[in-house]
Amino acid sequence: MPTSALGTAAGMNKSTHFNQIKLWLVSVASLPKVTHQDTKMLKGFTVPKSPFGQAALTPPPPWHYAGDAVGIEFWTDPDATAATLPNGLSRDPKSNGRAVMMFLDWQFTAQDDEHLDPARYQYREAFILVDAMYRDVPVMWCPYIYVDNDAALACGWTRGFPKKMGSIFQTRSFAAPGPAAAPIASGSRFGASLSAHGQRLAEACVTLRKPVEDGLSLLSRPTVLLRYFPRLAAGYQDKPAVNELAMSITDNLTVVAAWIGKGELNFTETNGEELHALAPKRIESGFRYSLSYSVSDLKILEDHGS
Amino acid sequence: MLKGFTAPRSPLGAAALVPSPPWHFAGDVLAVEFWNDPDVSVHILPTGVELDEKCPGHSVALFTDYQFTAQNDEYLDPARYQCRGFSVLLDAIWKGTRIAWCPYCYVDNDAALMRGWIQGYPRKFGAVHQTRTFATASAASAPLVHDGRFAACMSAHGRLLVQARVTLREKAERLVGLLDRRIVGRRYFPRLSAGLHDKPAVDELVRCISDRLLITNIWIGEGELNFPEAFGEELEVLGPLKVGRGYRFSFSYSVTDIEILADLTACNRG
Repeated sequence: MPTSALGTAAGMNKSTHFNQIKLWLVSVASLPKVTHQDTKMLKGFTVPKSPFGQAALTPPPPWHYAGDAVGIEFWTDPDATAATLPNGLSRDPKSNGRAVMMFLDWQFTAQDDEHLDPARYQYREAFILVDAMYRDVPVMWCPYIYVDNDAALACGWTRGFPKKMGSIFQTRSFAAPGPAAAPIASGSRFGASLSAHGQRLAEACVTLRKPVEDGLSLLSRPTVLLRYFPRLAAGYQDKPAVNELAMSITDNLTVVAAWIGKGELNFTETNGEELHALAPKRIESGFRYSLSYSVSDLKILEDHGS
Repeated sequence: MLKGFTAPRSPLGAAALVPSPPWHFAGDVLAVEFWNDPDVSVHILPTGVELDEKCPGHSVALFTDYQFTAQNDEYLDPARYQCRGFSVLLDAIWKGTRIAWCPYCYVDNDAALMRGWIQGYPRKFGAVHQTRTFATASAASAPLVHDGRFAACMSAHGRLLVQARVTLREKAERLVGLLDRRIVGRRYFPRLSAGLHDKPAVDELVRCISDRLLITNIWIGEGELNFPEAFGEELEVLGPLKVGRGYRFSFSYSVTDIEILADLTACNRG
């Protein structure tokens, strides 16, 4: 924070500040609800909320993302994908067992040039999507997802992505030619991996064969997620405070340099994870593309309350 | 029926970030008491919480190095369930009761991050380290003895946020002036739907309930503490104007419940 901001904080008059506060308690239901006409304004879209709003894990939306994706389309045990579905989703009878494993290398910004703070706002991600139906709409459901950054964890939880921490890597493509450059060209190979807490969970390799004219055709179904936040109070630990089925809304989704080809994918059995239950039985294809999109909204499909 | 106390909920319930309570903790603490500028720290308090006028600005910087278990021998999976953390606790008052308000908290592990959000600690990721004590005598073993020296630091995203040092002076039977107040935090979970970004789904002032809190091997001495300025953080405005005692001790406790003091969603802001 700039020193001037420090000075401002120190200069705020405490007694004036307290005088502005009108605080009283009203007993509503089992909990006291605090209401007030004016209050101290701690700022921040997420915790930690702070006087200047600089400390929050993630700035408020709109959120903008740009990145590279390496992915594998595959078929797994349909009973295993069905077992991951939350209430409100059902099997897709036409593509039961179809799944996509994605590895992403992201850069993020909100409204304040966050992309110029790469340590905080670049991150890598790996997730699996499985085909499902929401009523009569074909959708994809995200049962498991991993990132390597705390800001991404907070954004994800807010959107309904059940993010955990992982160590994720993918082969990158560099402009200067050479054996290490991995150009976007036929025959080029891209590897990717996911590990967490010292265990390797997934390994993938994509060999590019041909460009895809309409890259968006690789992202035809909306993603459905579960916003979930438990209670800790005794007697309420199985009655979550937030339990909402939500549909991701992406603005200005753009896909460029999409290629499709051969895919290889392997899930390792690990303790404390259930990804391996979705291990591939047959690989459909591998692909790679660059993408960007923005997020400023989320559609709540069903509030499962507690 | 998906299972799991937290996301990701899964067919067997083995994938969840955090298993169900009861939760049990055991670890070591390095702590430094300090006083920050009350005219500044008053602005970190949420609605309904006031500074303690008897000790305005009195705070503690707490470094923890601990191990966790629930009901399934989680402590035998050290990669997932050991954690290092850093917290600031600020002396405050809630409705006439002495409390410790937790404005900032950092950990190095995802299970701990989720547990923190559930307990009302506003956790972010940090790299946290502290000198450990080992049983064999050596220049590197840092024994718990008079003049024994311990240090700790916390950084996040490549920026140093806190440095501390403690020089042990005397063994004590109990902690004096430290952790003698219940910790109050804020359970907060935002909405992303358009128009509701400032109307969180969960916004509760909560008081932590620690069962069977045991504190042992207490040493008290001198503390040194420094909060360097860092972009993207507001920790440094709570930095020390004066530094007091340093502490080193071991602790254990369990968590099965939390006390909800107030539902702040009625405010819609703050």
